[in-house]
Amino acid sequence: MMARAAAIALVWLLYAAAPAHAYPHWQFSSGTNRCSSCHYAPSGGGLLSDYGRYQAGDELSSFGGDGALLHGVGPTLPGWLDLGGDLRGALIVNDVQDPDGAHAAVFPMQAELAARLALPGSLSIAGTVGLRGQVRRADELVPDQNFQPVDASQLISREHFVTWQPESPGPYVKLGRFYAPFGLRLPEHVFYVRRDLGFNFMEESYNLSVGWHSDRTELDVTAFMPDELRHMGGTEWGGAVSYQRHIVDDRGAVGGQAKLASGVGVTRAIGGAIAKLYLPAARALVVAEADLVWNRFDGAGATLQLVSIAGVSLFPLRGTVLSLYGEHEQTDLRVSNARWEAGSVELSWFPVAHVELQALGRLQLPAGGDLARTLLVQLHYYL
Amino acid sequence: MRARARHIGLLAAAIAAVAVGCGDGADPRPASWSYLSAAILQPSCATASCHSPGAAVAGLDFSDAERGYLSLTRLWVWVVDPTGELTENCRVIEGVRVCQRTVRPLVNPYNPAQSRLIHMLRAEGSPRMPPDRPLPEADILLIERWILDGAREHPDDAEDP
Repeated sequence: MMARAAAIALVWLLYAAAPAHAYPHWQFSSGTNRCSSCHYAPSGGGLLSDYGRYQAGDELSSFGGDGALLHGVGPTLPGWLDLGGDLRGALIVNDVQDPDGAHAAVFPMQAELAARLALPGSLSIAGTVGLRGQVRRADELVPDQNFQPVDASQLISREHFVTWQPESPGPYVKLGRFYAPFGLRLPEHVFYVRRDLGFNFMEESYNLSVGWHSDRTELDVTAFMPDELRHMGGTEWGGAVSYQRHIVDDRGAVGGQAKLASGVGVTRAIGGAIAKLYLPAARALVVAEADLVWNRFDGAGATLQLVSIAGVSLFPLRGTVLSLYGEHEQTDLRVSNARWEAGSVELSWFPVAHVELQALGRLQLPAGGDLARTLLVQLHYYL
Repeated sequence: MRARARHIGLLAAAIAAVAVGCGDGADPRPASWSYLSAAILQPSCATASCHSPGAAVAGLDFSDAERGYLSLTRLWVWVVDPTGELTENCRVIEGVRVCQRTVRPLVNPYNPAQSRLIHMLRAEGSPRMPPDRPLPEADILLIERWILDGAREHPDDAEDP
């Protein structure tokens, strides 16, 4: 029974939410071509700007609504302050061919507050605070041998950063904890291009990002390091660069990304490309990303790895997004069976501003192994 | 028009890369702990919520080779004092006297069939690990090769763990 409970808890933690509001589906498909049109962060994600909140209520929800903080009820915040927050509850059913069958759980997925303060000199400071989930009780006995600062804190701030940005679009400098701009920046961290390239859940690194964004191009250069104090998240040091350029009359983008990272027992160089194209006649956004990873293992040779995803998002009705994704990952191109294939169907419905109901069905097939099936249904409310 | 064709070609190439795999099926990867830890255990098991230093579910930490090896082979656990005669590494928790002792490790050198790690990776009489993404059989076979070879931390180690 304990093992079963732990397995359920583990799975829901693994599927716990990525930063809210990161919906690259809306880029190009909603007539908005830049992430920073709707988000304060230059590369998207996190707190919505006033325009983003307006769009959420007036354009992107089935039945409209007021996208302002707390639906516009209450006192108006001063111009230098923005607040937000996310609450998520979820149902997960996971079947990985366990002897005791599929596991199901209903659980609180996310409770997080966010704030942004505009400072003089084009500076701003922003951050989130929330509780991280944990399978093991804080008072549970653990072996003395292991390094386990489990009591360090369950109160976490996944993101906190200072940004200098005199105008948007334009140049910016961003310093703090966040995901470095890289690839498609899909919100689902379970996708292999996120999970296995250093952008898994709570793997935000400490970064110094410098970028230049214009109406048609985005260039981001980031130096990153792990959290050496709390040992939370990734363990890699290095640098990354991401470039995207709009194409086809601002209906799509192509780009490339590269990353050099030194981790525990492995150094890796990643190079890849992305593409997005919105097809107005079909009301479909096609996206793809492929990355080659050269891994150099300490004392154990080198491998070449391929991680890729392709998908299409459809917008059948106002406030709905239906996305289909296919993924392929091969951890060593010399070994054809060292690979996973995955397929996901994701339906998001935004009935009114602030509310999202999402269902994600996912199949994963490890070569020669057992099929894994996951269904995640979540109800998301943002302040 | 040519620029548009070039962009669509790039998009098609990216999509093709998703669908294509390669390799001849042979497995030249080293069945050494340094490789297994960095290439398989760390990315699949040492995620922030699971067997990372901060979470260390079940006391297992696979975030580096040393801790991972210790977790598989020499991890102590707390057990109820079976005789009431134990004196070292004991404490009383909620009125129950427990002592820290070594127990059966998760790998049994030279014998993958009797190794709990393999049972968990294949969900044979045990909950599946990793619970979110089962490993490819090639990776499990590579871990089995390492166990068959003595499950050594370093290839030159003379003694079993």
